[in-house]
Amino acid sequence: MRRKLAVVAGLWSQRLNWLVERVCAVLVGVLVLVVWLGIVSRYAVDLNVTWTEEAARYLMIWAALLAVSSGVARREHVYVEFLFNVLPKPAQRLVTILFDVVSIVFFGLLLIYGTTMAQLGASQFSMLFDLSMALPFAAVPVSAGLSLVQLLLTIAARPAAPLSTHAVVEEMQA
Amino acid sequence: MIAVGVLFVLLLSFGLPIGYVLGIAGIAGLVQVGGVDMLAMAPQRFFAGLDLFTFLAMPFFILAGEIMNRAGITQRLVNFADSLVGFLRGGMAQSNMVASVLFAGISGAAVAEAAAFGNTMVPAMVRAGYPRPFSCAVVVAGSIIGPTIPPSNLMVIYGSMMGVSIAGLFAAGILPGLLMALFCMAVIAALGRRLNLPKSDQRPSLRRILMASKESVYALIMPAIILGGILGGFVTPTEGAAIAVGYALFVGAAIYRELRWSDLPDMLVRTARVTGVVFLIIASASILSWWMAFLGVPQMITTLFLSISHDRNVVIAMVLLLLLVLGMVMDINAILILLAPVLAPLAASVGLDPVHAGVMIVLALNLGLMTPPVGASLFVLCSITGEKLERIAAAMWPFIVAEVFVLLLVAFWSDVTMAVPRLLGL
Repeated sequence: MRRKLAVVAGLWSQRLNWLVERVCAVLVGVLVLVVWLGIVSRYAVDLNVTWTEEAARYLMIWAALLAVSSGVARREHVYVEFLFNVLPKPAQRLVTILFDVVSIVFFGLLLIYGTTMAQLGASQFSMLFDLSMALPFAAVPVSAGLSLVQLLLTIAARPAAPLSTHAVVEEMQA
Repeated sequence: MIAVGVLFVLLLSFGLPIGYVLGIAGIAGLVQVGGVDMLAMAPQRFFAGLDLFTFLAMPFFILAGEIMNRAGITQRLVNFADSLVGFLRGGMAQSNMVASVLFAGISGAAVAEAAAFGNTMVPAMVRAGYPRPFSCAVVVAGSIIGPTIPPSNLMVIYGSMMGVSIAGLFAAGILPGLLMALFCMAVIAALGRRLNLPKSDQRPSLRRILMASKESVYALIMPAIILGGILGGFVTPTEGAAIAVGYALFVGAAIYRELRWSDLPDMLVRTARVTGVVFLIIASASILSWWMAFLGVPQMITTLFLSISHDRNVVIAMVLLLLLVLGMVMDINAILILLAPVLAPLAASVGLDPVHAGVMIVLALNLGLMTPPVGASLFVLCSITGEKLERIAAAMWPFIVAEVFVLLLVAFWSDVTMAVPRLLGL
């Protein structure tokens, strides 16, 4: 039963991440185009686009913060494992649980207070774009929320897919 | 304050990802100084820490590096380097260093280079009879030339945060980066006989160099375009980085024809992911660094340093020692964000130019990529090649000594950094 749950959780973690990564790819692609547009407008034909700088900044923040949840799903966030590895097994289990709790608290607080920030941002407007600041600010709670979901899914999936070390690097070999 | 420090060290050393650790410690700090009401500050600092236009250069330089690897640009740079120095004893190691310099002119991060070269150069060197730990050490030592010679993501962060000219920092990094390559090549030459490094039977030939440079000419003029544009003041670093992406795409797709449309999504996703990992660290560190500033930690550290000595050289030595030691155990982006607001005023108070101080700090942190036990480039190589960290580290100490020597030159002889920016009028 536990194992079946773990497999299902792992599967959903992958599916959600697949979707998030596609969104990230589109955002980075648009980001490149926006900055190119700004360059063309500044050096070649004046297209009278004053919003590119602001749009680029917010696109970057959205893309990078969404990718944070991908890093959670793939265990890509950089960590140091020496001291952990020398701990006896029971202590490792305790530390793992403790760290899960701490991580949940971290993303949970960012989600809660980030939501408040985004709501307050609805009454502020960006400098050039005249865009409600709720949109850029929302990147923080959305990212924290997705990370939280991925965190819970990876915790649930752990019996099926135990901790892999330095997934960043595994990926880089590809 | 001590409680927050202890929490930070414990979480970090037992293996919580540093991006979380910085945020948790920052949040704990906020609660400690202002109670639960202060928690609203956390997402604000988290967001504000990323909200800088100049930071855009980072994902773009990462993307440009991805494209270069995929489009065969990197391989052509290696071939060109080989035509130049491949005939020497230990020629493949020597060409690795030269290729690192060429690659450095386009890439802003060390790990991308370590991964690319670790995948191709190390197996090739091992096949040719080089000891594997030595081959890994060469790639690791070469990889930190990348973020020293511009563009450099750490310089982008430092310049953006401290209001120092990024173009100035870029210009100042050129000479130290070349010196690093030169000293490392000297190390390889000196070790050549002792390690009995292979000597290929190819002769140095002008014809071969011409052939290779013809093959790689589009890759070779890329750094010239990007750096020329940025250092000449024609484009901002962000624009230069975006142009680098465009140029790499064009060369890869239209000239070398190795890039396919279907490669694109994967490269974009990887760019977002690498950026996400770095940006979480930056954003979380911004929470902690706000708390540090609130408590006046920068002033405390400055006072502490200056109470030990007012002498410029002693202060520089203490700063370097601090950065090298921290670089051994902590992620360098995090160190930079936490300590730049501390070290920049300290350096200014003993009369260092902001650009000189910035390059010195970045260089000292770059060394943290290759020093055990925690070094990002070192980890990449271990994982790719399966070689043991201790064995790479043992083969690497001559390179560490050489690069620390360059660091000392940079720190104590300001002309090494300032000559080029002065020449360019930056």
